[in-house]
Amino acid sequence: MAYKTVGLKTHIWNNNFMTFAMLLVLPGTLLFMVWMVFLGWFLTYPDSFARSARDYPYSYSDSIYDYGTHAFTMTLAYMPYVLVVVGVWYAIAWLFNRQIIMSATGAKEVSRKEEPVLYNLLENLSMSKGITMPRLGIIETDALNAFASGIDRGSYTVTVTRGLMDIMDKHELEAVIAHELTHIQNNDVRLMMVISIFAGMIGTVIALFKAPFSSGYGYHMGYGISSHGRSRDGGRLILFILGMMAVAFLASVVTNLVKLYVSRRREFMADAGAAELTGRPDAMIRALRKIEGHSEMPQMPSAVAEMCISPTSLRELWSTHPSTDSRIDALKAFAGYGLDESDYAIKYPEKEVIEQPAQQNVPNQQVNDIWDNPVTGAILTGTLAEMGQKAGTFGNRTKGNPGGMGLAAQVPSATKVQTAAQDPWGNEDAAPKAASQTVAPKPVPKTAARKPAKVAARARRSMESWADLPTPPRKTFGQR
Amino acid sequence: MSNLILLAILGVSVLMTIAIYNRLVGLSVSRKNAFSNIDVQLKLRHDLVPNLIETVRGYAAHEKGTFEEVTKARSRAMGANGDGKDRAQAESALNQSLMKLMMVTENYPELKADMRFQQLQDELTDIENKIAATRRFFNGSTAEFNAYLGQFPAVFIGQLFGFKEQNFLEFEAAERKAMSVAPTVSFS
Repeated sequence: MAYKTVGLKTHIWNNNFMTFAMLLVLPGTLLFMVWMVFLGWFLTYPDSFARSARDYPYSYSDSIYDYGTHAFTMTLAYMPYVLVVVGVWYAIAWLFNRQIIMSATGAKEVSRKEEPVLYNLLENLSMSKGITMPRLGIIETDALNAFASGIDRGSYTVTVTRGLMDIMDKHELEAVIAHELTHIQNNDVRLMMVISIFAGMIGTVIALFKAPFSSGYGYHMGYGISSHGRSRDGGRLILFILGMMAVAFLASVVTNLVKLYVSRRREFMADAGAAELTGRPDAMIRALRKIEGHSEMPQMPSAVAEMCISPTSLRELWSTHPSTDSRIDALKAFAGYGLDESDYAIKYPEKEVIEQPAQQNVPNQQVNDIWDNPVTGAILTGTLAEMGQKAGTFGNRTKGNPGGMGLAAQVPSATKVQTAAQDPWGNEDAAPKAASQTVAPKPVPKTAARKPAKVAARARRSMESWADLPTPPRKTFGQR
Repeated sequence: MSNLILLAILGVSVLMTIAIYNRLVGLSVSRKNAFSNIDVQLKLRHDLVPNLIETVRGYAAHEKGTFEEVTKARSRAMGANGDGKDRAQAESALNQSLMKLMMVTENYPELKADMRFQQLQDELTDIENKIAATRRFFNGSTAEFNAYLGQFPAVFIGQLFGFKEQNFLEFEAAERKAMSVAPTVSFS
């Protein structure tokens, strides 16, 4: 596993460095773009080059080298203006990013009075991290997602959806919030904001160049693209604009590559940080499984979508966010224990317990046994039932049907059986649920149960040896 | 030439000493800050206790022994200051007596239905969660300080300026001890 050794401190340091580098590199890229604009302009209009160069006391010939040099001179001359525009843009984003994001995503900030349970979870987690508590936001939607945003202490915000609050149990919700909190503490959020602001600028530039093409605006601007289309000047102009679009496109590709590089690793880091903070990798795994396939939020602006716990659209599934399976594998490797629903297939047949939970390949022989085993059989049947249900409800959700579904419809009873069986260490929530189900799974055989418990104990010890303190007892956070 | 090299070595070591000293000071300050966060929560708990007792007394007046124990533990905890062992013990004792008080309340259904009591109980739970959270951060920063102090160059500089390894705040230790003693059962 490539993610076995995760160093959070190193990650924070890297992020700080990257933020700094971005603040230098991105204006640099912008200057390069300006230079390309001048160069392109001079190449398309040699006359203007001659006119412009005449004002400067150098001897310019007609070689491409001189075009470049003069374009550079012009860039330097115009640099202050460009930097002022960039600076103002950044200042606005810095000051108003919270308001902008909230209005773009439809989130509203909530206080302790309005959402005491959630607020307390966030407050306590911030206390254990020793950081200033971020603001708390809620989006009223059935989709399951959460994100962190903000650029400094005053604007950091953790936002969750109403659907997430309804479906997650206390520990899972805590894991999700811890994930977002880790994004904030690792400075992922700040880095992302800096990059996104720049991406926004480039997007605007591209849109400006595109405008004459897409809206027929060109006529009014006197470009005369179609009327003088065959004339030399119009052709050149189109060429110039196309060239500039290529430059802008290149810049946006560069920005996106940077984003990509940063974003995938970051999710693993935040998952690991959440597992460390809550001491419950299992809750994180369960939360990821619950979110999987229900996280679509089409209205999300892409800058925010980057910071979401799970992809908001199919497009992102393959780019910014690693797959749920790989995240869960990384979690198990990091924590040394933790169970995923697919692991029950490996863990609970009467066969010997496999110590390496990250192993994925289940031999065919074993698969047959799983179906025969009453526990795993029930789980698998449950999973299938749930999958069917998902297929049924998914369409409604993606269309943004507000409040169309009750909680009961979203969580089929089969899922409840699953959660009940999912907690091999006798977690307090698990037992009563199991009892209330009509298809209560058979209690796990003692020999099988003991082993994971031992592994878990060992892992817990190794996880916390750094501070040499036992997991603080997490008492009831109130009733949900 | 050799003088110059000597001077350079001296300069570098002075700079390193300054850097390490500053880091040690910074770490111990952040540890102190972390403790003041716990302190706030502990004080909140102290303030909550009288209200809690008064409410319980309204329904269970004859549980005098428990009330006295809690009151005593509270005044002892309020007398203890700093982050030393006696503070931890006093707070643990208060915690235990509160647990006992809560056990007592189990026998009084009317009390458990009392709105005011429920509110106080929620508050107590919340404060205890926050004590756990802040204590976790405090112990984390203590571990960070101790680890840095124990590392190679810092260990000398720490000795030079009299930095000492700091204590963790362990409430559970006392609890565990109490729990390992078998409870006395009497039928009189």
